Amino acid sequence: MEKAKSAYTELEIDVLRELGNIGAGNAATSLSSLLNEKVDMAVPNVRITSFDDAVKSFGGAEHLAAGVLLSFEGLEGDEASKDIRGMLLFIVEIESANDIVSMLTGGMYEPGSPEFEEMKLSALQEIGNIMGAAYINSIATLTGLGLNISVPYLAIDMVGAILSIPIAEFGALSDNVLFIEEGFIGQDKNINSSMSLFAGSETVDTIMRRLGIEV
Amino acid sequence: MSEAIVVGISDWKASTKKDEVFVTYALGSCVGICLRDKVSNIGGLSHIMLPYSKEFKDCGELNRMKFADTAILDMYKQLVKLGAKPENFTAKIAGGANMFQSSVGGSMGNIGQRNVAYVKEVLKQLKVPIIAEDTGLNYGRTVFFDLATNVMKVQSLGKEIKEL
Repeated sequence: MEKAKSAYTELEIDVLRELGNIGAGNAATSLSSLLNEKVDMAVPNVRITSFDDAVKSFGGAEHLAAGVLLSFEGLEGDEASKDIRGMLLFIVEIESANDIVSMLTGGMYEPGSPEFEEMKLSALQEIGNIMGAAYINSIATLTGLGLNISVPYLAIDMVGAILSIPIAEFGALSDNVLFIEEGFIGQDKNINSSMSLFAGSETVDTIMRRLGIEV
Repeated sequence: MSEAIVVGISDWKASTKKDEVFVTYALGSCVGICLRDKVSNIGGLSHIMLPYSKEFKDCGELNRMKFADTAILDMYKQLVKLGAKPENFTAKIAGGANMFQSSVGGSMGNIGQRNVAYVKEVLKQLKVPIIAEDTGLNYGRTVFFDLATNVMKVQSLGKEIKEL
């Protein structure tokens, strides 16, 4: 475990935090304009933790939430970005999910009825999609790397089960997983949510090199 | 009933206590493997995350509890060491869901499916019959495994509790 921790220097952690700040800042701006609400965020956390602790940091294994997952990778044929592989996870607290969809649809959404549940699922995916694109575009601009982003995927379930996908993707070699986590809250409305970027060490190394940092 | 033994992600636990209960929380694409000697009740629960360690064989030391091939084999050997007889083993498995779907069609990866397929392959090689399973689909599962009764209890969000 120590090995994975010491693999990142203070400087690298600072850079990741700043990347998260910029990426999540852009995501928050797009969320704010979608909902026409003020969105606040704190300084992002760069976490390098065991799998079980990662799950704890999202409220515990059986905590219920909605998750929108997008994967991103380097553009085909782009030598500089070919090793890039990551995932963005937008987590919305269940009680906030209904409020967010209601705001997005100008109060048209009423929880419970089947057609509105279908609408909620699409709306959450679309919000995650727009925020994810804002996040990734800012990183692409900052690093000059060409990045491709997937369609959004949704799960409403226990966070332990939701996190099994990014953890399995990036936890094969190490017993730790690295992610940059940023929480969002509304100034007046209930929009408790977070966006986290998961990436492997090769991706982090590539980003560092692009930013002129020796790895 | 005493407190259940918690099995984490990439972890397994074994016990010789006849009424031991194990629990592992919120399996998504991961798979839980309940292994038990039907005569002595010696058994264990494993929570694997990925199918096979061989895929990463050039990548240095790996956590053997993370992969189906190494985790099941190690737990099997440990149970035998504790006194279980290989011919008495039965297995029950749960998990391996495909957690993420898209409304534009498709789902994110197939790691759950691969995990289930490889867990079955490993158990087949060890000649352990699978007598119950609750795998696949698109939801998370919390699994309790009771050595006294050999019951695997599966809890999912908004669903009836299953006792297998």
